[in-house]
Formats: sequence, structure tokens, C-alpha cells
Amino acid sequence: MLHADEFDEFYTSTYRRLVGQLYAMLGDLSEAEDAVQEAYCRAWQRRSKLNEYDNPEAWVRTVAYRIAVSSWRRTRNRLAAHRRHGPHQPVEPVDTGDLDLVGALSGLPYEQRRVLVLHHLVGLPLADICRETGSPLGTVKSRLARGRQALAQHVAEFRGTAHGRISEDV
Amino acid sequence: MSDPHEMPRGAPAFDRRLAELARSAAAVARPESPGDVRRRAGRRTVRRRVGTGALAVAVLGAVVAGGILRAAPGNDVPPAVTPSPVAPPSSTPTPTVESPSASTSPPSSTSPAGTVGARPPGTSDSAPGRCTTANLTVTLGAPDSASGHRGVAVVFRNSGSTTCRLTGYPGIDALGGDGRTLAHAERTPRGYLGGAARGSRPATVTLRPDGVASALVEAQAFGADGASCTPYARLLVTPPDDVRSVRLGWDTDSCGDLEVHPVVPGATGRSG
Repeated sequence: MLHADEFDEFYTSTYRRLVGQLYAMLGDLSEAEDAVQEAYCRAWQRRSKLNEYDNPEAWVRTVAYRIAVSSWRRTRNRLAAHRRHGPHQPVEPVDTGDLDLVGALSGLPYEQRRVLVLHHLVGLPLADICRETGSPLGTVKSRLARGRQALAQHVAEFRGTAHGRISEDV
Repeated sequence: MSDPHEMPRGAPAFDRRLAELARSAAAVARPESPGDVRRRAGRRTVRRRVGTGALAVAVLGAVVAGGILRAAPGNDVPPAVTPSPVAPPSSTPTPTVESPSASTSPPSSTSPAGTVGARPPGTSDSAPGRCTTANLTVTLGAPDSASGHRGVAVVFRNSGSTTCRLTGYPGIDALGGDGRTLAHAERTPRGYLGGAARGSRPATVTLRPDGVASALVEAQAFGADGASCTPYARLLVTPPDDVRSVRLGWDTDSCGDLEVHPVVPGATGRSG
């Protein structure tokens, strides 16, 4: 059972970090913030069980991601007839200066992007990425490799890693 | 994080660039206070922000998924909803319920004179008595929904010949299809879909004969953990300060976080 003061501290100390991570996964700040906010609501609703998760922050991140992507999928399905002009093009509200990276990321499939963010931003080892995404190791590795390959044009260190190693120890 | 020294000179490491991206987003995030999040928990909202196209699309999708756009506020009287056929008036004494023919009138029908009578009169009526099930007709207004929220106004019409008054909250229980009580509504001044005007105390609504007042009931189409659950089939409505109840069918998929807001003038359950 999570008490109110514990929840408040958890929320206050993790909110911005999770919004940043979700933004990196989704490319849309409003969507990221809405999803994270909603995930915290659900976390509070499940406070009696939240301690059963060994990592509540990972739980909120996972739930937020699912909320965002499922709402995006719903929207896409419903509006498919009106939106036949290519991929999701979110308005970019964040002034990062790194438009090159923003653009490159926006071209990636969501799951590849998610795995890249979990590995390179959140810093999760592959085993934890498998757990968080519910995917087998082979899938995670191939998403990571394909994501890096797709970014190679914009990210110098990914050049020549088309068949490159994926470190297991990060 | 991986090793920066691995990276070629001249190009910022991907990890650093990604971290910078996340940091700039986090820096402009606008967190609610944790207390607000806790209070809001259970009200699964999509926070609406204007100016971001993607979110606008997402919200539109959510509203479309919700089914029905919010009814325009105003004086329109929603159609009466007849009691569910599987819930005939039981042995409990119940007030009369509006005739089934009323349910065919569209939501946009112009308001009959009765709505006007819902306004508190000036000084002419001296201390009218309480409205009770004996002189009230209780019906449900048109269902309303948005972003996982479901609402319906419980409409009280003065079917007697004298003026009476209503104050505060009706008692609302949600019943399942088998008649069991699934939830007692929490009394809150207002919620996601409406309620009493902000900052106001529950007002006394004076109902002249045929005058209308209403209280908004809202709930969510999810259980507490976001899962689907057994939808409510009927509402057991007890007018404020009364002991007798009436059962009304509510065709809804909602099943969580039942709330009721105070009685307000008019048929929409909203004021302010």
C-alpha cells in the first residue's frame, strides 16, 4: 500500500523524468504529459498493489506508453479515412535545438523508438527492456539494431553498425 | 548510459543528444500538484490543451470513442427516459414516471414553460414545503459522455399543484441487472461533466408546479484499475430529504466512480 505522502514524493521526484522519457518515445510533449499524468492516476488507483511492482517508475512508464500508443492507434483507425497522407506528424512544441535528431526519430516505428529510448536514455539493460516491453530478447535486439541503422544517417556513431554489436552490459 | 569515449569526435553522442531532448521536454512540463493527481485519480481524463495538433486529434478520437459529444448547455429539456422494462416499479412506493411517449422527443426540443418555473421566484411564495416523491416526477435526461465519463441528469419535475423546494443532493445508488446494489454515489459539488457552479453552496431550488430541477450523476466506463467491469443497469434515486426511492433504467457502460452533484435549476444538471 502506497500512502499519500509516499505517492506525492514518488510523483514529485519522477514526473519530469518520465515526461522527458515519454516525450523521447512519442515525439509529442502534450501526448507524453497526458499519458504520464493518466498513468500516475492509475498508479494511485492501484496503490494497494503498487508495492508489488519492484519498480513503480517502470510501471508508470509502461502504462503511460501503452496509454499514448493505444489512444494514437484508436485515433488513427477512426480517422484513417480522413488521414491518408502518411505518418503521424506531431506538432513539435519543444525547442531542443536538435531538430535533426527530432526529425530522425520521428521517422522510426514506435516500437523501435521505444527500445532505443529505453536503452540509450533510460539506460536499461536488455533483460529489463524485454520485461518492460513484453518482448523476447531477439525482438528487442533486432528493434535496437534496426533503429540504429535507421538513424545512422543522422547519428555518427551508428554508422557502420548495420550488423553491429549490441552491448549486453549497458 | 553508454560510453561517451566510444563516440566519434565532432558528433555529440546519441545518448547525450537524446538526454538533452528529454531534458528540454521535462523542463517545460507542467505537472499538477500530486494532491490534484490523487483527487483526479479515478477520473480518467484526457487533459485538453489547445495548440497541439496531435493532441487535438487524440482528444477528438477520445471524444468520438466516448460516443456522444457533450450536449450543448442551455435550457433544452432532454427527453425523459422511461424506466427500464426489467425494473417495474417494485413494492416500494414510487412516484409517477413520465409517460413513455415523452422519450421520443429529440434532445434539441425547445424547452417547455416548465423550465422557467425552476428558477427561484422572487418573494411571492412564502416558505414552500419540501418536494417529495409524492409531488415529484423523477426521470432521467439524455445521457452524456466524454473521454470515458458517462453522465445523466436526474430530472425532478414538480407534478403537484403547489410550489415546493429542493435542496442538496439526491441519494443515488447504482444497481446491476440483477437488482443488486453495485455502488453508492459519492456526493461531490461538481465533476468532469458538470455540477453546481464553482464556489457556490448547494442552493435551494424552488419549483413552481411543472417546474424542473436536476442533479447530474456521473460515472466512468472503467473499473478502478482501468479494466472493464459490470455496467450499471439502473439508478435508485431518492430525492433530497426524502426516504422514498424510484428506480430508473440507465443504459450505460459505466461501472466506476459513481458521483452525484447537487440539485440545480433546469434539466441539465449543470449550472454556472
